[in-house]
Amino acid sequence: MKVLVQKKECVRLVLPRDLGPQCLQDELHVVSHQHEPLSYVFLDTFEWGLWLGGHALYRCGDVYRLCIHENGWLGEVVCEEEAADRRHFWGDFTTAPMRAKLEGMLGLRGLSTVVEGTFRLRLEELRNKIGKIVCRLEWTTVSAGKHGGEELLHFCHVMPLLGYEAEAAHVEECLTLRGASTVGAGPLEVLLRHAQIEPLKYTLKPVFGLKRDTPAREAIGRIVRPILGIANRNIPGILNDIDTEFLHDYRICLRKIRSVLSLVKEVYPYDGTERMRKILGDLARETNRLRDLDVYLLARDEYLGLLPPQLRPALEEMFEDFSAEREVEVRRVALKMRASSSRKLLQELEDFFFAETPHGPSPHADLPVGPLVFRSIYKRYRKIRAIAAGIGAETPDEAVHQIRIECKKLRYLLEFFTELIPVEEGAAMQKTMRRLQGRLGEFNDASVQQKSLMDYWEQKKTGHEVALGLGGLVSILYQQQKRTRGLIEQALVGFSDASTVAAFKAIFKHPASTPTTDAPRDAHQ
Amino acid sequence: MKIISSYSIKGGVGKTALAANLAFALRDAGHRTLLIDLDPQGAVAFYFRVGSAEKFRMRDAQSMAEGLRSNIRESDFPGLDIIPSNLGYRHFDILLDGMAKRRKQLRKVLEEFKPHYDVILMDCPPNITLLSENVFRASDVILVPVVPTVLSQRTFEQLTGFFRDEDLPGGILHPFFSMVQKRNKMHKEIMAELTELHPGFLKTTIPFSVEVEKMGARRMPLLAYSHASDAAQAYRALCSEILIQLSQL
Repeated sequence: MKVLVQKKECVRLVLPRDLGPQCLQDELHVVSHQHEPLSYVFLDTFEWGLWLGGHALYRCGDVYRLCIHENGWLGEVVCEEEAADRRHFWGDFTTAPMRAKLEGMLGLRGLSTVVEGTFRLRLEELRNKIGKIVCRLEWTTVSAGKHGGEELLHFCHVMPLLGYEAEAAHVEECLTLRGASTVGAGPLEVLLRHAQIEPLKYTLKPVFGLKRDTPAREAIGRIVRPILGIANRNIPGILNDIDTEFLHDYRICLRKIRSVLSLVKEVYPYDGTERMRKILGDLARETNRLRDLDVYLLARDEYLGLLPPQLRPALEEMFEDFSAEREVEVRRVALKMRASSSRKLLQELEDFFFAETPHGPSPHADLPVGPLVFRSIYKRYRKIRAIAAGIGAETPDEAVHQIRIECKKLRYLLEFFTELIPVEEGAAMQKTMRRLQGRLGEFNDASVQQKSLMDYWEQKKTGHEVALGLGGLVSILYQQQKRTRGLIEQALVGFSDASTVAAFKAIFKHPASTPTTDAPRDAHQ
Repeated sequence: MKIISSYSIKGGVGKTALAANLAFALRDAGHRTLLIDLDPQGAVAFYFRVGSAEKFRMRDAQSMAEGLRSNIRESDFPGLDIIPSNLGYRHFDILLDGMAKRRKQLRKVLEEFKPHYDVILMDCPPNITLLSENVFRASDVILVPVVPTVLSQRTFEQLTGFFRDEDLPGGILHPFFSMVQKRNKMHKEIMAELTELHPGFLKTTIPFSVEVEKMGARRMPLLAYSHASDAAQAYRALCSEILIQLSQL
């Protein structure tokens, strides 16, 4: 025998603007309790990590509340935290559930305000003839901005009381007859729409819409323009120093554009290409030091973890120096980027790649991009194999660095022109590349970091305690580098094995035999 | 889940006022409370503006539990639900009489509500019947309002006698003085005498109050409209005293 005492769930209704609870007065007595308007500040990352993860985070007064969202409706509260001061990164939150939830959705990303709204809540008690409450309504009006601007959404929750379900159903029916509906966008979506903000998935790898027979200049334009757009979208985040990923992505975009111009040669006139490459190099160079500092500071905990506890406090001094230097550097970079000279350079890039009047002739401009790029990819692959063949225990580190640079070029080519490569083989190649590049990256990082730590010591001539910490870290990094080198040699064997050689040859040397889904076999013949 | 009953053989002693206000005070203290009106007069539900219960067939404990469940009404005060009475409840005795273990059926029925409530409070009719015996055996605490008058004293002693005769645990009876008039000499004398004879009387006394009388006109418990009156404070104090007693069980 089981007795189940269960209240019926609330029903949410989106209401026409002019519909008020007074419409129920004929049958029920309505008693209103008006609440103070509440200002909600909704937060998310540039990548919409929370929204796309099905969550919404808002600050109301001094409380941060993380809840589930569906179509912009705020659902169950997952966790909340009281905080008088602002929270920017997941690590700024202090309660364990909030940190755990946010870490996965935010990563290195910082929070910023996406939209603000004012919620006016009114509780209505609906009483029957003898004055008993038979239903409650939670009537909400959502307005834009924190001071309650234009009214954007009216909705109510019909909250049945146990034993009075029929009355609640009747109320729901009355409101539905007057235009209320159970479907409609929720407050967050309405606020975003009003602010003309569309939460879109952010990617550094857009689809370019290439085919093997697309003329090379047109293909490069299709690659460069969206990447340039992504670079521009990242600039406000750098200027406001929201998080380190804006600069990171901005630099990746500049590097990618510069690479594609170098890797697919002679699609634009020589002078123009050289000018663009110089601008891209100059713009990136301005941010080198800031990125270096970001990398060190992000690796702070990792570095400290490598050292025995007694040496850690000494190294803290170095990170404090880096942190102080970053404060200065971030302002310098922002100033530089805001300067008209930098804006002019960015404008020059846009003018060049979005030019309405055609550029002058160049040898490869009108050639189908597929064969042109495939030749280049195959050439790179062979070059890497040739260098790899000469690598042994005694080979200087420079050869490993050379392979890393060549691999990066090859990876970019495979990434830019992935739409022209058969999906399965392309994925397998990218996987092999990722494994190799991961090792090469670790090797390079360890090498660069050792040099940076030595340079820091050279410049600062720090006390012996810090020197001890630095020395310890350099030794560990050197050991890491040596270990990684062995792993690189193993990864290079896989990169040059018979099946990989055959795959590269089949796809890029004899491309006609390996069509893609969107590029028919004879499209470029 | 604890089961409390408001019971007296005698009528007009403040039993229903106790049930209404104690239920309110319990939910105020954060306890999910179910108030069951077992008195066919239906006064306690009237105080909460809840209409009579729908009739239901009671063949056995299961159909009785299901019938009670289907009659649960949420009060105007979140955390407090009510099962109103029905004139049909006068047949409880006949139904119970036909069942096996007829004196323990109510406890079995109420156990079914355990997952949903912290406290069940029953307002009982003023008589000794098979239903009353079920109430005695189902309750963890039986609150007995005693007006300090000779008749009230007599009915309380009848009750304690019944408990002795039926071998019921007298420790669950918690009498307290109700409708006390401070300046009434007879009240004082009877209270002194009874307290000496029955040391189990609760410390809290409920004063006679015109405010309590207004519950019928206002149709809500005193605690909902007269927070600071002497009687309201007394009901809250009584609630605290009972909660302490319950915590020691």
